[in-house]
Amino acid sequence: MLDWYIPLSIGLIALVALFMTGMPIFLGFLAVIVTGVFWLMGPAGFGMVINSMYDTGTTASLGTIPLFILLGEILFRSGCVQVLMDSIDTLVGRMRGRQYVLSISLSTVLGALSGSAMAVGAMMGRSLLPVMQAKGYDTKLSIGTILGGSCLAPVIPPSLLAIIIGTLANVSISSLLLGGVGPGLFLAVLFVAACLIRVRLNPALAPEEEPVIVTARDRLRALAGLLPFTLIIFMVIGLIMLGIATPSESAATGVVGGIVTAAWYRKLSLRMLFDSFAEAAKLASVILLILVSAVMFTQLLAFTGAIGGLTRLVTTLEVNAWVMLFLLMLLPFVLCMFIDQLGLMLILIPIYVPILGVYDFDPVWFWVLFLINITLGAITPPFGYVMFALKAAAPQVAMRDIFRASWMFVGLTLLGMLVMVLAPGIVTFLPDQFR
Amino acid sequence: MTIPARLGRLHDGLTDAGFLIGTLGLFLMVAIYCAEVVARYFLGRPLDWANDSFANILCVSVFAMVPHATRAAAHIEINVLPELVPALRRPLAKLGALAGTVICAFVAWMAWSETLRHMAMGILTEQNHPVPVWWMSVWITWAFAGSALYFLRALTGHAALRPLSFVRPGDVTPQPGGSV
Amino acid sequence: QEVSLRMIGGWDDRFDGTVAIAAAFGACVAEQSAGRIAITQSGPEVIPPNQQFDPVSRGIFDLGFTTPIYFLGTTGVPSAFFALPPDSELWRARGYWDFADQEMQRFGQRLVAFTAGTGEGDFYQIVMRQPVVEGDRPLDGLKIRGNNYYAPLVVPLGGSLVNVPGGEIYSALERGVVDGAAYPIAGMQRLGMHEVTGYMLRPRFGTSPFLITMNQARFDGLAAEDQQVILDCGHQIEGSSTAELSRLSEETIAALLELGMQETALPEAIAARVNADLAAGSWQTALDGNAQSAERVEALRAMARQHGDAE
Ligand code: NA
Ligand code: NA
Repeated sequence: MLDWYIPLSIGLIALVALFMTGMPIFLGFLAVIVTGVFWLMGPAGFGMVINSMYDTGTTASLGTIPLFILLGEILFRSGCVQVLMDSIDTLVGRMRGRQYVLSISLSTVLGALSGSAMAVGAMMGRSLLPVMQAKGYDTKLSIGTILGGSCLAPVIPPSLLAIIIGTLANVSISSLLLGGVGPGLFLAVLFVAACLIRVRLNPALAPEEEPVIVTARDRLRALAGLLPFTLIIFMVIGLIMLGIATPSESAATGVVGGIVTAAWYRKLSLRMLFDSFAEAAKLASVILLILVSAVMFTQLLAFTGAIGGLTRLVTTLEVNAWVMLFLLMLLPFVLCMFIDQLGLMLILIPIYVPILGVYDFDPVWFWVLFLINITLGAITPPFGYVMFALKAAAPQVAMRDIFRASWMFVGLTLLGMLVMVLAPGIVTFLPDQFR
Repeated sequence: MTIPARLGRLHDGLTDAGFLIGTLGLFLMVAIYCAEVVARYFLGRPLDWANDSFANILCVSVFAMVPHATRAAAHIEINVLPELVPALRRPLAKLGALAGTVICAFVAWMAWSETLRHMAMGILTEQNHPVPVWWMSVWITWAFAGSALYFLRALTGHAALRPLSFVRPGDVTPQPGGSV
Repeated sequence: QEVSLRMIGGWDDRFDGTVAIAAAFGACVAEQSAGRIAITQSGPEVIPPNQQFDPVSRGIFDLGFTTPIYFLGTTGVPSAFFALPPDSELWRARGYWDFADQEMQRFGQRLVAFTAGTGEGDFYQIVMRQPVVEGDRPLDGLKIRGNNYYAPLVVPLGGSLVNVPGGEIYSALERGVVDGAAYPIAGMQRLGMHEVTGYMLRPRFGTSPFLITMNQARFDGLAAEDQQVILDCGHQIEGSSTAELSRLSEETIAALLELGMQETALPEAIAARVNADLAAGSWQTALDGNAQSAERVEALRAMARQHGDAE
């Protein structure tokens, strides 16, 4: 057997090179896998590739991916998202820079309904961004609030990233979901505060808005308009907490909540439902195809001894816990600028699990930090799904502006993570209450 | 109609069938988990087949849908090089189609050989109600064979892989609910 | 002359069996061959546990360490060992061991060791959020996490089985999605079961055979003395692992009691029948789980009946 770092480096370099040609990601993985299996095991290994795909494809917990995507589809296609936007618009108070506050609030609420950052980014880019630009708000800061806000979706439950991390790292999924509530809200507040400070320092960022008379009655009506959405939140998180559904099942009950909400607003139709199911099934197929390939790639790396070797290398570094934490967070942050977060997660988590044992980190706290870090990868240039989604949703903005807009919110999120390291209670308080 | 065109129509028709199976599968997944929650919590009688059949249907749904996803150019790509150097766009697209044809055809062959072994040895799932493994694994062959043909048709100019809805930067209108 | 063998196992080091059986086997072989034969271990991070049978047949790995359940889809014969009295010496003496070896050779593997778990019918227990209720249906209305293996115990007592995925057991118990969980005793403390349940159902029950197999061609290619080392260590590990797993099991129980868990007992009459009922269920599983091997399972059962080891 070769030294583990040779196949590891050849594999990773080949993978990145293939990705860069613009070929579908799953093809890049498969090219490396087939070559690697042939090289390391010979044709006898080909059956293993297929059995690994079958095994990953029949992993029930991964079924939450299509289910969460489906919920997002139903909400968007039924027009429920528009209802949500109008209500929150009425509720956000009058202040200089209120559209920034609206943008972050709306994405926080959407994040509590959806488990997908890209879904939220696309919805926001299509619905709110044109309004903000028309009102004369600063384009870059507007984009930034959407990018930052979208990244709250996988942190605030429901979250398919949290479920995948929980499954791979063998930690309590309900603790991980609960652990995301504090950080999600904290980051939202941090984003709002940063925007208001910037507006205070530079009033040109936000125009004076026409005063709109909002009566107490309007507010009440807006609040009532939000109520049906709490059904969805209840059908996902509530049923987990009450012990009625498992985390996997709650994604399915959430879909029912979404359908009932759409019916409540009289926006339910068979056509809309079929389109939602079909589109969700297609997107899930695309994502899971990458996932089954990435899992097989990880298994192949493990076969070469690379995962064991890398783990031994890091664990023998004998640095103190804080340095190790920094290294463990730095690695995905840097890699996520360039490669797919989901695939990276599948590679890193098995490497990280034994290291956590050595350093005695609280697993919920650590994996929530990891979740935020991985999520951030969606808005770190140059490769990030949320940025692509936003660009596609709002073709009028330049990719360059999106790249520039992201850094402020990347910085704020890193600052937020630093605070969570110093004050772990932000993460652990809520899960501890339910333990 | 020429023979390639007829074959193309047949291929498209099969892909449509896979698309419907994938969509129906997702519907069944929602139904099964909701039924399990009701049966377990409200009736106190959990369904011992719910989790297993959910898993099996997930596998079928995912792989049955893949040829349609390929036809719809829905696969996620990182377009860094083609974006930076527009002159490379066409050659890289050709290269991608070639790679897609070769890789998918090879994986389809691997999958078919393994599926034949699953059938010949009568391998069953290790579940409470065992079913033949090939019921699921045959869809892996389906996924890659169907995709290989679309890549081949794109390569030979017999069909264009058109983005129907999924996000491709600056390319098409995105639909919600994209990737993570 | 050096011999390097690759072993694939169904679990990582967190499972006691990996240490007590697979690692101990590797150490034994290294020692008895005076370091000439080296075994490197891999686990489920390389191949998912239920996909490991075929790679050993194909020789991608030389040795496999797993539970018979994981190849029930291919053959039911080894699974029938769940129904035999848990004693590997008895298995060897009465020909069951050789029967299983013949079966493995159909698939290009040969049997090296067939361990009997803890060597008593006390490998598992059910941990519960509440004590059992009085009467002849002590688990009435309770939902217990577990697969069909536990059905002969749980269902007649009024309980029902819920198939919760491995990663979600803790949170399912925590939130009360299930009222209890059946699980091997050793390892329960590591899973934090005492944090989410308060009671351990008595009696403990069941057996869990594990086996080490070797790729037939690879075995045949070894020098005669090396083959002997492999087989001797396999035999040796059957005894030593049973003692070791029993010790770990007792340690876990003591620790769980120390952590405040209490015992809750089924009525004597029910308790006395549990293992016999489970054995009957295991025969059925071995037969139903795979039609292709059903005839051979029946042949094994006929042997066991002759020796009075099956009802
Ligand atoms: Na969310
Ligand atoms: Na990135």
